[in-house]
Amino acid sequence: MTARATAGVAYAREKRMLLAWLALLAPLPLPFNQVLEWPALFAYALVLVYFLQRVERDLPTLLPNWALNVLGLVYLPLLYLDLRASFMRSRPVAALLHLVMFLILVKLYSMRREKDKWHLMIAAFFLFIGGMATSTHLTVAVFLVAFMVLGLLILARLAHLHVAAGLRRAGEGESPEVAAPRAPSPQPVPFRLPLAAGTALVLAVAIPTFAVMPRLREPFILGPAGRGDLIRTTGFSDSVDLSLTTAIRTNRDVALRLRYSGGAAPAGKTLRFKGASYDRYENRRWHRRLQHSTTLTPRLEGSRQVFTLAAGEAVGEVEVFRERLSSTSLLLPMETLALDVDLPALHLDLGGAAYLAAMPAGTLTYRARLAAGPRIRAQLARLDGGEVSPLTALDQSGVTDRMRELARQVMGEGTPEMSVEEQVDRLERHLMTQYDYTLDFLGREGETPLEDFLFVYRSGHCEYFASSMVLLLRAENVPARLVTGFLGAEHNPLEGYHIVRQENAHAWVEAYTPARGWRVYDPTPPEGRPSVPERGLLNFMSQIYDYLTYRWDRYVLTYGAEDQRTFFGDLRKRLAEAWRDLTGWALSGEKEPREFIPGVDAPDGVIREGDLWLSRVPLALAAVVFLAGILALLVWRRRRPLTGEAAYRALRRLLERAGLEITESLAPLELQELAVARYPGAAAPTRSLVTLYLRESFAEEPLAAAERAGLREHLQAIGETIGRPGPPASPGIG
Amino acid sequence: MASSRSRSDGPLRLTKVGLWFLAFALVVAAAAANTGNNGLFLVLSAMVGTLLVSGVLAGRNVRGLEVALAARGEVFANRPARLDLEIRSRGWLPRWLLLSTVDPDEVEAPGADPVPAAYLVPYLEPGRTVCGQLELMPRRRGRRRIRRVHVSSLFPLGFFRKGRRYSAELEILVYPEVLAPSPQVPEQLGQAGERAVRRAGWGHDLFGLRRFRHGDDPRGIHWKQSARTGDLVYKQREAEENRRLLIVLDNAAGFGSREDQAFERLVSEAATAALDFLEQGYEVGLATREGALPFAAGPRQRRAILETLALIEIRGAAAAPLAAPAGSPCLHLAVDAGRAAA
Repeated sequence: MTARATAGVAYAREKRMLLAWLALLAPLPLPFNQVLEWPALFAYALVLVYFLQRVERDLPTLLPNWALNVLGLVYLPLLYLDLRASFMRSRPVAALLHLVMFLILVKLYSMRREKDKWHLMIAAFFLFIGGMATSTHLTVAVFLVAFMVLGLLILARLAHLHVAAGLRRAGEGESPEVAAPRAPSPQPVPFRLPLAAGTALVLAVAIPTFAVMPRLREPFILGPAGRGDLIRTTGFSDSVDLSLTTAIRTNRDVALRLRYSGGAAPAGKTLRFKGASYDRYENRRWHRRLQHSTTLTPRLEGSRQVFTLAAGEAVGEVEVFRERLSSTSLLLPMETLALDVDLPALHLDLGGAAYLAAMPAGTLTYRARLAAGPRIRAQLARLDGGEVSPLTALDQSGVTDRMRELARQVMGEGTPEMSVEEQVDRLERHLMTQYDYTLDFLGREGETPLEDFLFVYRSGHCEYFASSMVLLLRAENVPARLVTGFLGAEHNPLEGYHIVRQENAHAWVEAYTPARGWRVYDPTPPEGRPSVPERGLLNFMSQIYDYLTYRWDRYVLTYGAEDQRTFFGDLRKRLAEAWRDLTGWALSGEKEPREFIPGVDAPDGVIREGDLWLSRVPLALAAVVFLAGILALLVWRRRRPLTGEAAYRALRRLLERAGLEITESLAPLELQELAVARYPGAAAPTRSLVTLYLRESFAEEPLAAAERAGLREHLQAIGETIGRPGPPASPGIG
Repeated sequence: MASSRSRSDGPLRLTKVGLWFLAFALVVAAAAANTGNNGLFLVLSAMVGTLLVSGVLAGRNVRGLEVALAARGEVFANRPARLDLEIRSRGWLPRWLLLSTVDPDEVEAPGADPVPAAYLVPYLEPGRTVCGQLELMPRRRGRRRIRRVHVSSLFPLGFFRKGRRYSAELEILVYPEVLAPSPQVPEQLGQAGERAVRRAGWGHDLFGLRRFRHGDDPRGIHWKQSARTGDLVYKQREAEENRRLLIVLDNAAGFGSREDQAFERLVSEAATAALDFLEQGYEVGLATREGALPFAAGPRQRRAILETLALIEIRGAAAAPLAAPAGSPCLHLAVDAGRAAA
């Protein structure tokens, strides 16, 4: 085999390998997004890996034509069945993806022609687009960069091979000694540097491009279909259903982010966020009586809308970033006195939990003013047409005789003079110590899950503990409600905010006693309550991940037209402010007090007018000098003499605008003849200009200053003759 | 090597691959705008970034080079000729995939020659110089002025083809096409070498020794004498009357494309004969209507004849044919008479 033939084989092999890697990488996110089945991806990957192995070992990879025909015929009925099944499942994309993957495999095994490689790349690009469009996870950024690097490498190598192949083709059919110099050098071309630099540059351009690209619609995210439908995970929702027969997995998705200000940040373990309260237990579910809710309207404080929830003195403030939750609840710290949120109205259920009329589509931000301790604004009763309706917190639905008996035993046995408060504490302690916490409900079936919890299994999760305590308290005529929300938050030192995760979702009890009023009771054993992870490397990594995820969600996935408006509005405002400050300082001498600087200002602390001017004048002067410099540069660029080349280009443009056909290959003298024939009046300046251009460009004789100045005059004369304005002002345009 | 002046050959030219990439970017843009899907906007941003970076790097890759061109050996019409090319990369950036060629638009007779073959520099480190060869296949004899070398590149991704023309003034003299030697020989060339004359020439007998001069045939060096004297000594041979050939080329052929073609053919035949007989050791003279080159042999005569034939021009038809001097073997070439031996 000749050297050239060997090089050809190496190129073909490298091309196949790169394309196979690209094809392998392209569909990776699809199964995670539940757009493609894992078995389909595994089968596809297996065939590709086999192909790569064969290429690596230089074994033949080309399928004969008859095999391709057979494969095509075999796939047709499969495609029909696949399409039918996909349409029945309302997921026609799956069949399309299968078809594309099949085509990729067939193309790889039958890559004979040059254009086959482009077909392959287009198909891989299609899979890549599918993966990108359906992905929401942060790691898709890594996928994007990996695909981009591989894509750039392939395009760069193909460009090289294309040039080399072109030269080889040109050399074919001639004697070897003639063709030999044309053959590409076999030396390896280092592509790492341009690849790394190119990727960095592309990213540097792509990030601002992404930010300023005009958005016509609100962000739309194709989330993974069916996520969370099949597997129960910990988390907050608007319903409490105790008919569980499976195991629950923990979910570390972020629900809330909190930024405290004004007072010392609270300890993470004690933070409690109230989401919803429930009055009635029926058919294994808790229900809210939202028809009896209270609606609050805001009052204006400057440009802010404030809802007052309770009276008291605020000691601090927290800004809450509520992530997308499948809930209408507005999760608020227990200490909330007032709420600053851009909403027309706010609803409070009977237990005092705030909720919205509709589920927010994206992230919601609000600020809460906090008291020193919890504030519970729950109702014992309600007024209905002037009459007191039954006490909802004493609703007896769900309370059974066995529960009454248990409540009586636990809360009152042997100590008739015990206060209600002591009875409640005793019940809480009893549940906390006599029952176990579990998330495993496999095999549990029954119509009475709370009785099963109390008398059979004696284990459950927080909803079982809290629900049982509520019903047991009601059995003893102590008003109580089930409350759900979040307990605990971990502090993220990277940005100084607290994170509340879905696994921090919790249920507890609010009970009313005459001496204490409404108060929180939490019967769940401490080991079952949401915990705040101890500091450690793992937790720190988790916080870094969370930090990135938050930014990804906030500034990539949900970035939209509104963000662009805000960004450009802020930018405009800042520029206007900067300009106002500059002009105010430099021109009007507007004075603003500043802090006293010892050793610089007058010892008496009085800032004199002259001091301010002394500090501002140099800055203003520098700004003026800078602007003057830019202006001078612009003027110099406009007025500096033309070069021969710039004048010639300007001439070409003039003639082109005048309607002459000026092709790229038109030589200067031909252009001159053309111009003179069309505009004999401009013959002299045209000839002079072209002559000077030829002298400058070809004879390498620099033009004298007078000649360069004359170029502008020639152009002007030509422009006047052909009825157009003179030469362009800037020679740089050419 | 002097710094080369250069000028761009126009804006970036989108290749077919670039066009496809752009088309895909537009499709992704439409999908992203229609759906508001930021995943697609990410892809679109990366594609736009790739296009921009590719364009900028393509332009940068072919700027700031120093290009020099030099002729290598004799150049004959219709034979591939090699030109030595030197490219030096200035600045701090390496270069990739530089494709250099003699700018076909810059030779004096555009379109007369086939597109010259290119030279590929796959990689050029900053500050380094690479030497290669360009090929040219001149169709016609005469002077050729190569003004520019075109350096283009598909770097980095093959989306754009960007080129610059570097001035590389080079004038080459293209000798006439050399044909296959004719089996016919003039009649007087039948008996070779009987009559020696006492003067230096290209015969068989020794005429004398002298100091070697520049332009002498190195095959004539008398190595033994050179070793004795310490200086190069040249062995002169006696001239032989019959080892002479006069080529009479009548360039008064009239104007017209047929005459033109016929005349070019005659020039090629004259060149072929001259080279052939000079190679055999003959003294060859050349007579045209412009003048005559006296009998001589050796490389200097060869160059003189080829240069004369390269530049000879056709004249209007003359009343009388160009007469050949009597006595010497003569190859008479005229358009009207075809090829005639006197």
